Amino acid sequence: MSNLHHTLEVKIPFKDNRLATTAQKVMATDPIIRPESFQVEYMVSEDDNGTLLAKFSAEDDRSLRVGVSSSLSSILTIIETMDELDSV
Amino acid sequence: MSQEIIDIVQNYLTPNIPITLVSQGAEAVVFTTHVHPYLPQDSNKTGETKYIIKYRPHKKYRHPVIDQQLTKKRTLGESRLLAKLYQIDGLKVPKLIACDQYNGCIWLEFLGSQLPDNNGFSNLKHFLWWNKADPYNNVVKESLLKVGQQIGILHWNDYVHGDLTSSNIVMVQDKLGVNVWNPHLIDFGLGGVSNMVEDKGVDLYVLERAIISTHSAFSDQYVEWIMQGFSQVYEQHGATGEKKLKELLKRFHEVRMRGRKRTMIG
Amino acid sequence: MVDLNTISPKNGRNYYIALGLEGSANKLGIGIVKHPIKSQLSSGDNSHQCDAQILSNIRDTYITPPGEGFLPRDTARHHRNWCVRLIKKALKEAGFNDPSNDIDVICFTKGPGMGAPLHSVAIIARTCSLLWDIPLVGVNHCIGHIEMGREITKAENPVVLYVSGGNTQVIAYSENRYRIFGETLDVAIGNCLDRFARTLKIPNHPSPGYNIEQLALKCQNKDKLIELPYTVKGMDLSMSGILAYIDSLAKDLFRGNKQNKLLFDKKTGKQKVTIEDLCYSLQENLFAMLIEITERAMAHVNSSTVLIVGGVGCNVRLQEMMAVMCHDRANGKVFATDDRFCIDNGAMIAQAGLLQFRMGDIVKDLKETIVTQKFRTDEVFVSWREK
Repeated sequence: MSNLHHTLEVKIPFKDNRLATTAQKVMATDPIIRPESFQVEYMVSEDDNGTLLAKFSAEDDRSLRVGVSSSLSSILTIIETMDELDSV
Repeated sequence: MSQEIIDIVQNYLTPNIPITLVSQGAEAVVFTTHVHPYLPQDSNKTGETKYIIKYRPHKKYRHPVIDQQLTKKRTLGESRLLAKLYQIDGLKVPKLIACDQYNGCIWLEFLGSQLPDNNGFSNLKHFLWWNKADPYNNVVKESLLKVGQQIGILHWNDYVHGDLTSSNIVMVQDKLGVNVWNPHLIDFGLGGVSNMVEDKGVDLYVLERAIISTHSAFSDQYVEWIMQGFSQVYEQHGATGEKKLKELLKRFHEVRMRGRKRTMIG
Repeated sequence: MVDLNTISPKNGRNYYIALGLEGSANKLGIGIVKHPIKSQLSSGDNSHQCDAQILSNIRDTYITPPGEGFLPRDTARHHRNWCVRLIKKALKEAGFNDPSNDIDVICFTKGPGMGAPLHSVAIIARTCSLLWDIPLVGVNHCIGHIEMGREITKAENPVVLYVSGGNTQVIAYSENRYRIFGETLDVAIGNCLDRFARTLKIPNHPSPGYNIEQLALKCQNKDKLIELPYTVKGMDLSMSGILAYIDSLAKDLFRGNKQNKLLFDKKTGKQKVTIEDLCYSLQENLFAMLIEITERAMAHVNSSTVLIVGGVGCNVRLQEMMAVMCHDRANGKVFATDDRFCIDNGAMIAQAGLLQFRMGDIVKDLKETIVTQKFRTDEVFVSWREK
């Protein structure tokens, strides 16, 4: 972890905690392919209603860019799925 | 089995040579007969000696050009190969009697017997199934070591089989009533001369897979015994043998990993 | 003993509904399959007669320009863009507007296939499962093909020839596994055809293999076959050498390389061979090899029926050759399906997944939904069939 100096935190608002937690679970499932150069942590805080917090850290700006971009496109897909298919 | 093919063969051989169908393999139909193709009739007066007639029928599904090429190439190839293999010390293959490459027909010495209690013809497949109740008994072990040795001798002499399965190894009983079996390699239609470790590695891989798919529950031990017998042959040849063996086993392993690890898409 | 009726359908219904999501290569498929509860499925080996109804089965293929293959990243983007829309359409077609009540199980392709496309669909499967509170089942793509083929054709225990863009396998069932008897030692048949189509720069629509098949039909020189390597190795085969060779012929043809006497007349320099001839010869040669290894497997396991599955299985010439072989062999029969089920689709994932679900095999931890590029057919324990 000590080498991963390039960091970024992204807060993504969801309608409520249920949806934010769903996104968190879906995203946290997959293993990081190169953990020595890129790490990510997804969290939903209890007090902050319906916000997914993604904490990225990487060894250089390129790894960070690639990792964040792929993660965000997955989150985008999840949001679209929720928008279109959540019946509740 | 289509009667059509039997009729074609019978017609080609003339009624003077009565035939009995033994099996329909993928590329050849195998018959037995009591008539020798060129020795005088009375040499087999008692009618006890049997011969194998292996006929490669025309395959209608494939293009005639491919068909003719394959039939000729394989019939001739198999005959030439058998003639050479028969001369190798310690190697057990059927003796070649005659070959007619244009008609896709070869005559061979008959090997094997019926296993007791309706357990079928004594190829390795049936032999192992027959021993299923006590799958790791000593006779099985000894037999599989010998199977490995046969393949070892084949490879050591720079020949490959090309289609090693438990159906293509015939177990010949040492003496009637004695539970000792000598494996013979048959069906060299895809065989050839090769000094390439790749070809030998593929040969072993094909056999291993055949054992796994046909004798799944016991395959680990079976393959181990075969490989043990195989290695013995190479180890007899001192440092050169050891070196070649190491190289070969390494490639065998690589071929196996290639098969297992290949990405498979869609 | 196999009992497919131990798990009760949702809301006391007398039928199961499965949603299937497939995206392991360039096809994105969504299917919805219904199984009625059937007393015959409480025992015996009847998993090929579930009376499955296909309520919807839609597909969108990512098509690349001529001469180009599909890259994982672009294919994944295609799937992400279309998947939700296709699910909505499939639900509508099936007449469902309350998925969390209507559907019993969501089935998705766990592998094998290309990582990124598989992952993009798995993400959506997970999200839907959590949103609707419906269990997930991860399906092996190859098993999906086999089970759909068996259900559609009612072939009980055939030797299976699985031919597609990424796979070439001869499979037979024994002791709860679909065992691989023969397979390619290098490239897959579909990949071989796709890559040759790229060399020829012919369209990828509707599929490269289909266009090669059409060109082969137009061959005027059917009696003069171009000799290609014939590389059957036992029950396995190799195709990379053939591809390299025919690729070089095609390139010589395009370049007008008069030195190549196979393609141009030595004296007049007149072209002797056309693209159509190359396509014809390639198909004849490759398919003869496929049929031969299938026949070898049939002889080995003593079977007289064949089921062809996978995208290349749509090829009419392949089906024809197989039928001739089966007939000559033991008056046997060949079973094949049309492009709706041969080509990757969602219904096949739903079918195989529903069989798994009915045997109680569901995802218990989301970690089990991690997709895998390598996933061999014989790794799956086939609980829904008798030993």
